[in-house]
Amino acid sequence: MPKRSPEAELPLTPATFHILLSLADADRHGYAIMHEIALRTGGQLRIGPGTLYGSLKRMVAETLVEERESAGESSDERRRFYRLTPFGRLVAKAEARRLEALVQVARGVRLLKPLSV
Amino acid sequence: MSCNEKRPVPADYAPVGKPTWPSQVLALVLRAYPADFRTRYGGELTECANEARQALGSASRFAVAMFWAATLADIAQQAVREQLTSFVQRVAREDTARGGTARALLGRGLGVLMLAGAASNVGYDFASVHNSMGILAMVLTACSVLTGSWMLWPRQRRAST
Repeated sequence: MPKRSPEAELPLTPATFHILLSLADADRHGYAIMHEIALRTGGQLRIGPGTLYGSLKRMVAETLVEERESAGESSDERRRFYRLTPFGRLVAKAEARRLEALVQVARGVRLLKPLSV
Repeated sequence: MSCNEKRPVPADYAPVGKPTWPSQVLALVLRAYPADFRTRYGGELTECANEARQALGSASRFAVAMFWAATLADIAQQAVREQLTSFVQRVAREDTARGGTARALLGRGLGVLMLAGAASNVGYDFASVHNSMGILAMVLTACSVLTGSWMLWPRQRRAST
């Protein structure tokens, strides 16, 4: 299989990028991903279950995330968890760098305040 | 809240075992998804929607109605998208199995259209050869002729060159 470039996957949709962000620090199941996104964006972005699982299906196919079955006994542990693949992490970093560069352009034309040192 | 204190009843509460109207609608909307998606993600998706509903707690009937409207609309919208994706993948798969007939026909059709477009432009190109737009039109016509010819060129010969 030819080696893919993370930059070739850009730009990501907001839903895809937020899912990658929510999985950057921990493996999560579907509802936990939705909850984390709502929490991190202060409720500004709420992803519905349809969008979430549609995105997850594509992201699994593109090997950005992978599924992890949990053998736990509690109902929470029995669920299917999702985790970032090494390639998914590279893509998330590349997207973050792309957005950072955009913000710098916005600062350059004074749409945003310059960073205080 | 103590254990003896009476908890408020959610707006769409139903006794265990009796399906609520949103879950019935949800099951109906899920049927719009392609079978493989439904088999793989249907259960998780339903569980996720129900958990999001539970997180609302004893919200007002209006808030619950708004939640289900937004959730069901999102799920229905994605069902259309999944059906389209599945259809395109199936057509491509079947076409590949048949030796790419549909793609070849589409390519030839586009090739004919490009050559026809180029032919209809020739008159304009020669009439306006003295201005810059005329030169641009000639370049575009030449590109159309080249691309159209390439699309009409038999695939076996194209592959061998």
